[in-house]
Amino acid sequence: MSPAGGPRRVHQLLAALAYGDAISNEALAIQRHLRGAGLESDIFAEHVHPRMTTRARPLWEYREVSAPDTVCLFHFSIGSAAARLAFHAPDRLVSIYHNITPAEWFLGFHPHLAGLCYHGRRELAAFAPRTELALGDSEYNRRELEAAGYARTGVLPIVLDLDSYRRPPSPVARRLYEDGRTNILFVGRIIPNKKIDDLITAFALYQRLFDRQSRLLLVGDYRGHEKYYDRLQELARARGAEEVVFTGQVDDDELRAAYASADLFLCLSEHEGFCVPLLEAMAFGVPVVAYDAGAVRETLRGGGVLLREKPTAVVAGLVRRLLTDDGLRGRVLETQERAMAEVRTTDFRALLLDRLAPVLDGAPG
Amino acid sequence: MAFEIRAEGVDVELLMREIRAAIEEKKKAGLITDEEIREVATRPLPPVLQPHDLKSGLLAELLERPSRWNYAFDPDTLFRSSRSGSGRALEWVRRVLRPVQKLFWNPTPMIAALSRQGDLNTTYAHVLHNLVLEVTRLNLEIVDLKSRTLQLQGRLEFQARREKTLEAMALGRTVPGGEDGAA
Repeated sequence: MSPAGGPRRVHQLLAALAYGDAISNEALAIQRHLRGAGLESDIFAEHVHPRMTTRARPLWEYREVSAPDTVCLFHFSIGSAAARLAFHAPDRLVSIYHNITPAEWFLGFHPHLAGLCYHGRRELAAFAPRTELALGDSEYNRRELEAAGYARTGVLPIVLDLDSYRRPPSPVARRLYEDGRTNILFVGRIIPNKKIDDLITAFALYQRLFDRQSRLLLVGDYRGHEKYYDRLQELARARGAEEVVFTGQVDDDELRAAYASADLFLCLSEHEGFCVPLLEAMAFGVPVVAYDAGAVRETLRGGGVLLREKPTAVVAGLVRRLLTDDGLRGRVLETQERAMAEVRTTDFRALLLDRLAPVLDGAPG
Repeated sequence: MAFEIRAEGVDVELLMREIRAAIEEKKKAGLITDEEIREVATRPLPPVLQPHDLKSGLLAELLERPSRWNYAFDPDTLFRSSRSGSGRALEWVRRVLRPVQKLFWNPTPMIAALSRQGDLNTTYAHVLHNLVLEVTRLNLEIVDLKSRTLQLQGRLEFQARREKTLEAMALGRTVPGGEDGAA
């Protein structure tokens, strides 16, 4: 609880409040907990998804609440008007960093985005002296903040609305995926750093060697990354992989259906600032195999199978083993249950208020 | 070890040996060779060449040393000599005899035609360069469009499957004793 005399207004600034997006969900959870703690808290966003219009106020209304004793929680994003506003507003600034993908990942496929990411990292450094407190959603992100010159940093993990996973999945999608094939799932945007090409290659080998009746289900938005998507389609054809399904962006109930129908979650991504789908897969009781990159290890919290390297044949063999050896599968699921138990017992409100304490308790630093 | 599992009673080393043995079995069965595994592991996803990023150094290369592929032709070219010392004397004789030579034939139209041809050659180099560039760009766009068509076809098939599932479910609800009836 904010002490008497401390700031009573803690608002959030975002570039976009999207539907079904982990960062947007986190912003909503933060708002709920701040309001629960008796603080005034609104979300201001530059772009608001049509389904979220009642949940956020337009960015230009921020000037109505902006004041030196207002705390502004800014979800760091590259090259947005929200960033410029947060930088120049007189408020006490707390930056929440969800990571910026290094530019080199986009060089061959999306030169414009590569430029934005490059400048984004420079912008991150420019925010350092202006920011009173910077929170990364993983230790990996916190270390990046420290390296960028932020003096006061902390970790505020992304909160999951675990209750929402109990809602019914889409019956159509479920029926579609549960057709007797083995479903290997990946959830995430179809972008180069996620190494979907490695996923397709490993899956093609798995299908060829072990199980023709299998499917690779790639759930995630590919809009804006059509070139990479084109290459992936070509790769799937060249490798002779059948049933590589790109669903595009899906609704929540279809996402739940994908998890509910999945036999295994495979992630070979090489850059992750947190990776919410790993937790989601564990919450759905799907065995997880993930490559140890970025924040993957800390997000898994000892659950699942962590790949230190990813030789294609070994990945395919390991996937086969997990899908056919009930004993091994059971023991891996136990590790995931332990990890999820830790997540479930985390009191996010207490954690949030604890992390914000340096700003809520004290005078401007 | 390629992976770690923090579960009690899981011997990762043994598991790894078993996985390798399973792959060896597949190799013996002729399903895959070592070479194929290596090829799969080492071939990176090629970057995309954007049509608008396409640049050609052909024209610059041609213009840098035009003497290699083109000629310069002026009114005196016909009367010049390639010899150095005696050549100058020869050129003087030709100049002196030029009026006499003109009694037999008129070289001016030929000089004009060859000179014009030299200019045209330079223009053709430009045109050829631009054509090559445009054809390459168009080719890249065709590859893109073909790929997009295949994607749309894939999505269409997926949507058709989805539609059939939906129909099957709807029929299951309405037709008594249907596959997925209310029972």
